Amino acid sequence: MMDNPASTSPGLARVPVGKALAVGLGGCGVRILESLRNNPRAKWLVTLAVDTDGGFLAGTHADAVINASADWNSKSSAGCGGDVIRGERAISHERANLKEHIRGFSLMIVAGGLGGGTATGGVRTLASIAREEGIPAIFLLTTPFSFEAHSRRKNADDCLQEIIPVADVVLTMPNDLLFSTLPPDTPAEAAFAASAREMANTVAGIAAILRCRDLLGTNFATFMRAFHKRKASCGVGVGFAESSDGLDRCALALTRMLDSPFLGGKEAMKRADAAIVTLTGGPDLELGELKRSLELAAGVMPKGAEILSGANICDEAADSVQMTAVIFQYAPESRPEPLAARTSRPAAEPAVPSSSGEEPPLPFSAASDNAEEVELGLQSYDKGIFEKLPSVRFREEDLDIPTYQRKNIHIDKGS
Amino acid sequence: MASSGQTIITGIEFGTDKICVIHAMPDQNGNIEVLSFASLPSKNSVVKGTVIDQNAALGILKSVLEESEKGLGWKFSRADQQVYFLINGMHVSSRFGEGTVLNCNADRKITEAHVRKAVDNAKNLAISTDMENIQVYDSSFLIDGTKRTFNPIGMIGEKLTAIIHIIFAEKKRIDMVQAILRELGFEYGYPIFTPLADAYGVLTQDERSQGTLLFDCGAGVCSYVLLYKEGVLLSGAIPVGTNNIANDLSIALELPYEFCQKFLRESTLKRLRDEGKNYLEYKVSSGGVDKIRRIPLDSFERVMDLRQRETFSLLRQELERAKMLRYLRNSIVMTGGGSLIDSAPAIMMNVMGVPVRCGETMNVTGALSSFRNPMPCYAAILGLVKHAAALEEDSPSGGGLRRTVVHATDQFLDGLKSLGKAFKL
Repeated sequence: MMDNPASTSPGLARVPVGKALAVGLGGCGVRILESLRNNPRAKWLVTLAVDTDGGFLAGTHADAVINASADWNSKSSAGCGGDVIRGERAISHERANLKEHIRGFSLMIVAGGLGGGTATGGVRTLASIAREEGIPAIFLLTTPFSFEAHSRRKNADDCLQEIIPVADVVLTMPNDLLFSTLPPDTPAEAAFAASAREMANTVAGIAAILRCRDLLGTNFATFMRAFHKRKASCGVGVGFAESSDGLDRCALALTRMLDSPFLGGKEAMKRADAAIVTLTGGPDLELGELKRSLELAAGVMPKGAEILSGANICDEAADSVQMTAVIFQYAPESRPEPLAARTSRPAAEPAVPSSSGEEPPLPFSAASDNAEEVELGLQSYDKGIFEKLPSVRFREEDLDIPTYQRKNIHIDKGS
Repeated sequence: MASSGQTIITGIEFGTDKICVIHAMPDQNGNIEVLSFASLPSKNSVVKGTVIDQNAALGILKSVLEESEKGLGWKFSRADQQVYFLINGMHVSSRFGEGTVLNCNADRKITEAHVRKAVDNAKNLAISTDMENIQVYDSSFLIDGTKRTFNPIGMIGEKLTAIIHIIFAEKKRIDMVQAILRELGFEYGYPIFTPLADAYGVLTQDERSQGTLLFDCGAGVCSYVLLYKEGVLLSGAIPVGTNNIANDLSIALELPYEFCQKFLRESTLKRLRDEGKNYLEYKVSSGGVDKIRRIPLDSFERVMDLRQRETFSLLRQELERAKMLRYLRNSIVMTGGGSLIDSAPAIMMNVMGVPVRCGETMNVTGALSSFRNPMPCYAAILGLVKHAAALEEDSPSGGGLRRTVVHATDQFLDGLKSLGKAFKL
């Protein structure tokens, strides 16, 4: 809540460079942060909860809290009711405050659920602040269930189309995929808790990859290079094992990583073109373990795949190991790469083998590519000062029509 | 002050935003001294870099010329003046020309004569009758069809192929400007494509050699040129400019267009952000009652970002389409009013993946107080003078380019040496 002593920015401003900030945006994001708190390997992450619903924020234990109000004047904290414009306005209103909280960190990981108001409306502001402050940012965003309202899916898709060119890295995680790994008789509450836990693990896993500068280096530049090489589908897997789990904790961590719902299974790893694999362990991690773990992971990958390995030692991971893999399956080079689609797209369907015998898509695949709706040319455009001038078309497009209109993006005019 | 024996160059810009005239004097070292400068708004006589209302443009140019000549402090005959004008817009295009010459010398050494002949052959490219060649620049040379080089003189080979970059424009557009100039007493004006003029003024020799893109972001049109090894690899225009950004803001946020232009020009977004504000307060009157509208600054940023990102993405696509992206190895230099929008360099860097800087014309002295806007806005017209000075120096007839009026274009082209040479100021 606002009276949380850590919610004032000066305390956070003293966070040393090299620290990462995990931001939970909206209800789903805040739930993920709560789950992250229970993850001992994520203790080093500073957490910031941002939501428009004050009541929801009351129970959070994040290091800092921002209760954004969707109303310019009344400062109401009743949430934005799933309205993207209200969510956007609320987060935009807190921009200066957010900037103060974010400043000084060397990495920001934003987690949230798309489709509602706060996260869908707010991610762009966070991306903009990160860019302005020069902080690398990774967005881990869930997309709505297929049974949810069409408007929520459309909100999520529109948001992704806009955020992908602006943000450094965007990873979308379909809720459908996550829940497909749970038995149907799982209680709903437990299922959502499992979802938040899995997302938290992914946040911790991604953060661990970028923390790996101690033994074998993988850093944000490596990450960006892999992501921006070509259009790609990707998956993330995280596996933990403790010394008490058995003799071969590294093999166990690998097995658990391969079972991660967001990785897409062992088959997905077998088809990957590239992967970033890191092992995080405590001071007790032995060289033999390290070597064997990375070799085991590399053994799952096909021959010729590019593997970037990293290893890190941190005190919080004593008596345990965490293996994280981000796998990439690049689109064929023959297919032209649209500039806007850098890495990830909303996945319309979970990763199931298609009946046509084609390779099934990876979890965060561009599965929606082939299912684009044909747009009827009935939309009216306003060309403003160019209305009376002869139309100049460039590459079949009338560029005098405002870009936001052609891209069908709603802009908040204020009040 | 200029003495009677020194060359004074008159440069004219028909910009979407303003029509400008400059009188300047170059020296032997490539520096220029601005003697006088004047400008007036073009008031819709120029759209997207192209003159569309001849009479209106003539009237404005007449006033601007008179003001600039008044600033010179003495009278002279316009017919004796060497006039250069900037040409821009979607009617300007470019393509490669290829010309070959066989080397029959006993030692097979390629000479300057071979280069000249190969370039001449490359120039003889059939173009549509409604188009006119305006500039030719060296791009590269092939020796015996295989070995690519940028300076073949002294190398051994039996066959030399010149690959040149030819810029041409719609004849009627050029004729329209020539008619305006004749009406005002000039005999002939020499057209220079805007981004090439910019490149003369703002790029360092290293930048010209190592693969640099010059991007002129004007009010109505953006134009670009890619230079590598001091040769031109690609040039072109995209029909959007800062007016499109102001127009987008005006429509999206229901604000007057003029307000949005001012918003952009005065970097209001950055100022308000620096003040810690999250929204802009705009006063509206409704039924005699004043009301304050609060418009989120993020909305401004979003509209601007979308337009700029799209423009820069189109530029990237043009480079990719021409398979020239790999030659963009050094940086991008932005000029024009659009380069002064605070977010522009960062977005350009994000889209293109190379360092970006704003360019200002180098080695300019004189009457600089007449330039009321920041210097990147005048990079083209100042570069025009530098380019013209280089052409005058390279012309076989010395300062006598004016004497080539009879077959102006052809002889003008003959008078040009390669860009590589011209750039070596």
